Amino acid sequence: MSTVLDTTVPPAPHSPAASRISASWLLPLLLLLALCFIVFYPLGTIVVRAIAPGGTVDWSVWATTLKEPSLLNAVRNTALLATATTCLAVPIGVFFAWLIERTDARWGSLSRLLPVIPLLLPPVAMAIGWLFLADPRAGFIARPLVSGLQALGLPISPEHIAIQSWPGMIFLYTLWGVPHVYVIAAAAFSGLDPSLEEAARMFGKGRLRCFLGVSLPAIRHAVGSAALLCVISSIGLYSIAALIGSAARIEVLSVYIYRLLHFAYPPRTAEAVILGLLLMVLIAAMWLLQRRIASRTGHAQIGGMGVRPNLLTLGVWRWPARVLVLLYVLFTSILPLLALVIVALQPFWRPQIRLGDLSFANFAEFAASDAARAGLWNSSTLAICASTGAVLAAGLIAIIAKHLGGRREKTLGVVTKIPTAVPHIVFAIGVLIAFGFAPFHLNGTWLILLVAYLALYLPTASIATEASVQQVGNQLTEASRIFGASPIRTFRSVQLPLIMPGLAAGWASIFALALGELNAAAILSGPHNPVIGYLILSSFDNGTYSQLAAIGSLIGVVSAVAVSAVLLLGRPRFTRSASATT
Amino acid sequence: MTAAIPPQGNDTIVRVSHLTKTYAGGKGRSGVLAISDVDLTVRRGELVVLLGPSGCGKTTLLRCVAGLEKPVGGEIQINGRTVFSSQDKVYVVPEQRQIGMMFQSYALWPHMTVFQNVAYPLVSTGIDKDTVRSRVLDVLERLGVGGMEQRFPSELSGGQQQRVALARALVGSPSVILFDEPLSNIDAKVRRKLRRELRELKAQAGFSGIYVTHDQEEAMELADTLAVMENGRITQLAAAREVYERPKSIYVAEFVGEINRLQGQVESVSTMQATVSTPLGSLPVSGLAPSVKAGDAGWVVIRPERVAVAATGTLGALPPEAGPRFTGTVQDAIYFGAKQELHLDVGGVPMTAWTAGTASTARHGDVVAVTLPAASLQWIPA
Repeated sequence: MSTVLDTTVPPAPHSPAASRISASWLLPLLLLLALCFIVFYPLGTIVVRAIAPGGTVDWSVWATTLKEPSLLNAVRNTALLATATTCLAVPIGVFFAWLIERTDARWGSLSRLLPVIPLLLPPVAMAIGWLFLADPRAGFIARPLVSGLQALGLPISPEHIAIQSWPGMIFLYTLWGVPHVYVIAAAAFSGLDPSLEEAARMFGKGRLRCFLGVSLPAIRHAVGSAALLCVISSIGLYSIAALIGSAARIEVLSVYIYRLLHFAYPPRTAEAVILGLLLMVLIAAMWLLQRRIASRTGHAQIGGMGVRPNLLTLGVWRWPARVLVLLYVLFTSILPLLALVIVALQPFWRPQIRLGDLSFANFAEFAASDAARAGLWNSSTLAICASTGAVLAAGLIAIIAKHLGGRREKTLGVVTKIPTAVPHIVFAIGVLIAFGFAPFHLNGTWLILLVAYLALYLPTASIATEASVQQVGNQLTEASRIFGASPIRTFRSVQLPLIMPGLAAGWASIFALALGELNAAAILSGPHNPVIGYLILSSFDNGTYSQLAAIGSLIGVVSAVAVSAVLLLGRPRFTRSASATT
Repeated sequence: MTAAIPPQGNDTIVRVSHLTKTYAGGKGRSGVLAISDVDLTVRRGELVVLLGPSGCGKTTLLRCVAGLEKPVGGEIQINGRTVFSSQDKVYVVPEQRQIGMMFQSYALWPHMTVFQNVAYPLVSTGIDKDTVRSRVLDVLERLGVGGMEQRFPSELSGGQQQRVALARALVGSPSVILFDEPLSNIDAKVRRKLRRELRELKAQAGFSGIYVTHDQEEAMELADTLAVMENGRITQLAAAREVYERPKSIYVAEFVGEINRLQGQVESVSTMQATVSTPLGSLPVSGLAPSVKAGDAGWVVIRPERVAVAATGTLGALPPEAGPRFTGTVQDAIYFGAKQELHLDVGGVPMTAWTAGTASTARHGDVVAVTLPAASLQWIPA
């Protein structure tokens, strides 16, 4: 046997600490089993119910499901929307990432978070906001635009610029998709060796040539991965499609599945489950492909926010580039939120703003309604419980995974991301069938929503905690043990304080997302267990726009507060030494 | 079987015997042998430096002593207590080994002040607060970072962080301090200064330690005993001077300092003396091990500073040492200030010689007289 001595000796496959905590493994193990149950049991239920309902395989339901003529239409619309969104959001997101990570268009480290802000404004708030901005007859922007153009003698009909249309839908989907792309591309760019670009500049390439010829190919795996993620997310998105799509009479798959359950009597659950399974398989396949591509991008370093020398100078293009990014934030967050607040303060929605009319009457009315109060209460408690639960579980798993190391660490990492591979609405159907009826009978309860949210937000929590656990260098915990601290003291005085900011940031973002959640709520929430998402849908169906605006601005403002919390908490305070590992 | 460990005197602080560590390979791959059958002893007040290129197992050995890695075989004793034994299934966790350590990254906890960092090893030992405070302030003062106890590590310079890390390692008066390339992240000038301070500190405090480095100069400056490692084994364990002057293998000879080597074969042996045939003809070598016999293959080596060079024709200027003389041509002459490095062609054999920078005026193309003093020629078997 030849003993191989490599210059890069791999780290210990398992640290001695792993064997020492084996006595206290019971609790983490139980937690892991419980999580697996709430993630895999609903998914398994969907598979079983779709293939063999009642124990026998019955293909006739498949035939009825797939022969439905309107299904083809929904599939075509979904495909078109996903393609268009990806084609627009990927270039914009990558371009923004390049501007902020690689050029002097960035100003301060906070500018790196600008394009991510829309991620924390619930898409439903953005969609309602844009409805108020760009409705052709009463929109704050559309109305003056139409009358202005008509005054210039252009024969323009209000319908031409309606947000409730194909271009409007694609516009909103793109605004929503850009941050998803940005996050991946920015991480890749920040890990890119600046000398690559410097070399290109030395050889006299222009800035654009440098971007297209050197920077972009260097992160092509990240771009591929971002594109797939964009497709996956746009297929699964329900909220924008439900609000804008139904007004534009554009039906997509997620809305189609929702209708099977809610607008048919008796509910066509069997068909919904079959479509759910097909969607799940398709998306899971794309998700696996995306992970494969993403793994080839290597580990981009997200830490080290300190000094970043040699950003590409944009010269005269610096300010236009910055304005572009700011415009994007304006479009995705500020304008919609402003529109929501104005409509909420008006007695009824109209494009003219009269200061004298503005009052908090809508909020008072909203607060007086029992259903609304119940919804607010349910959503807030759900958001708190789901974010706390998901972050604690993810944190514990991340620490265990780091102790285990090697392949087991990887496996745990993948398991916690599995819910990403399932559209929320499909997962909600699984939860409904699995836990809604005998033997659990959770249908119409607060608990069934909590179960769904815990599983759905596990990936978000897991990403946040893994990043912060990774950031704590091994030598920091090793030093603690060398200097006589027990594993418990090491956890309490070294690991916990250092990962706390990351956990808090993850908590705040899940809180904001869960508060305005619409996809799972559409399936699982009802008059008995109303949540904000349910209130939004029913106000929209009833056409009570003032109420809609009141709810929308409420979650918008709460999200804005949460965003600020994320920005403040997520700001790395100790990077200089915390990231200084070997 | 504990009888394999000889009884030890009071002044042995660390005793490592037959230590072996492998890393599990992936599926279908054989495990990687990181250290194999290593013996090492650290006596009270002794600093042993493990020197070797990256991947030679020096850091793994240190981490095994610390308890951060679990060896697969052998035994480790610290201060008379067995902390690891594969036979007796003993493994003491790092926090119970009562050692101090300096890490390559400073590994100062960024969320704690300098005071909290340095007080950390004392906190759970039952020492009262006032004593902790005075001991921490005292050690900080002694290391030249007094008055900084309320700062955070990120507010200190690299050198200051290193001193704080050293203070943390010293404060608990551990039986042994482990150093894992602690100076490799600092620039050269500060590094030299810290090295000198470390020497002074050791003379004062008299701690025992194991010090890992790949820097030969650092190793020679700090080591009481130098352990040169190669492929998971200690190839030579001796005082720095002996390692330099009497290297056991060609690997050690080349890793510690520079050396000229001539491949050769022993022609004849007589009482500790031998004649070796080399590309430069027969050379006399003395100070041989008794095992050397005629026909052995190996190298005749000589350090560059021992090669005597003089301008041809000025025989009177030749050094007094007796030894074979040759004529060489200067291929390159590099001026370093304190010394001059000459790359010579001696009868077709390349040779490096260092002469005093003040004296030498040799230039490219000069023909010089080269003497290889007999006392400086050594035989290293292959």
